[in-house]
Amino acid sequence: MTTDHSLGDEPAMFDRPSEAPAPLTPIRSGEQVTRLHSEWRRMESHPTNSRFSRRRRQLTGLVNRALGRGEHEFLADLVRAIDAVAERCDEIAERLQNQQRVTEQVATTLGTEVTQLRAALLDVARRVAGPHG
Amino acid sequence: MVDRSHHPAILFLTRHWAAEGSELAFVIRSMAGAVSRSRHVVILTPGPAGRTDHDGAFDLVRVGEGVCGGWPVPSETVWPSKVPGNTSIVVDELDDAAQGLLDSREGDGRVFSVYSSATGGNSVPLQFVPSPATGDCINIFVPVNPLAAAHRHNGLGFTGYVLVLSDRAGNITVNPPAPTVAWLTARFPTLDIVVVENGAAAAWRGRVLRGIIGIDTRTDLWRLLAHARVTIDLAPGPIIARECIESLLYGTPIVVPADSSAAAHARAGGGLTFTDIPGLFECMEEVGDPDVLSGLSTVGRQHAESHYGDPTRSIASMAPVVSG
Repeated sequence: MTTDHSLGDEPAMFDRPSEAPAPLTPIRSGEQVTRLHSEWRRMESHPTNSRFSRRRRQLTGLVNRALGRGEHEFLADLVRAIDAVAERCDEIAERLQNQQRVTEQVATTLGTEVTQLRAALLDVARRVAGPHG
Repeated sequence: MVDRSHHPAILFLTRHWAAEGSELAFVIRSMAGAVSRSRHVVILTPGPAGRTDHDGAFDLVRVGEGVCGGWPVPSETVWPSKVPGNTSIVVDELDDAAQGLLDSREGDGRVFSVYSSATGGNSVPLQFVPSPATGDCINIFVPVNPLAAAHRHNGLGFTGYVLVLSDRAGNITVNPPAPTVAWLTARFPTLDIVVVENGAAAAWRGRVLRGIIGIDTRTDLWRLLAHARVTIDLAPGPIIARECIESLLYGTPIVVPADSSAAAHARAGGGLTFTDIPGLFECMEEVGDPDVLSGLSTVGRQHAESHYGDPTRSIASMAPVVSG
């Protein structure tokens, strides 16, 4: 994109569209995080009691105890962390959307007005210069 | 079947007969076809003297060849022997070389020119766009396929765009666009602007190139014309502005330079004219009004159909030539 313009030069073109695209879909209320919450609630209320599950929990518990924390606590932290990341992503997406709307309005409004103004000035300059100018 | 044996022939002196994409070629071929309904037509073109080539309904008689495929010098020109000196002649481009040939020919037949840049001579320039005073002109028949209006171009997912027929030619890049297009897309960022040049159509919106599609056939161009809201022709053809007429036949109004041959079609009610970028902006604002656009579409289509859409009227309009 060139920036060195004289009055009669045609307007510069853009490399990318300036209009705001469709908003990003929220993550926190999205299917994946919602499913995670549902699954967490189900595990909280109906822990699985199969032999395999019991054995697995015992083994994981041993490992986590060796690491200094319980499995249950770890999963709760993980869910909270995912919640926090999802919330922040949604906030950023909203801010980006607002920014894109501003960019679109600035590009459209100012672009149109400046182009109209330049064309009018061009017209005036030609009139002042006369037919042989 | 028309009996042409009792009528004198008409000579067509044409250098552009085989020029691909040339409006002069289209006009001279259309004229020869229309005149052939009532007169024997002899087509004279540059080429090896004495040779005759067949081209559809016509025989092309070669009269000699000059530099770069142009007309030969008068002394080396071989005129057909059986054509009387008082035969009328239609010249596609009457330049100084063609005028030299005519001056060297014996006879007093009338000379009609489609396009003239010659100095001197007393040829009759033919009028192909309606005269403002009388409305008369030679009515070249401009065919279009009405089915093109039924389906949009496959490569475009939208209609109602502004179609720009570019004034750029040769080895050019699509981006950046022609200067006029850059002004348009900057001033009207919400409009879809489709630019036709070099056998392709580039879609612009809000100063950004959105895509390029091919124009492989005349039908592709007709589809683009038929589904546009308005056609801006930056370099209309010099004789009749054929693409503008095609646009009007599809009911798409035109916006054209005020000093072009197409201005007559716009002034007849089919569109608007401009002289500079501010003027073009005013035209675009005006056609933004649906009522104005609809009025231009209706009147423009009537104008195009009455002057360029009737083959019978086209043949009848050759009267000044065949009676000359």
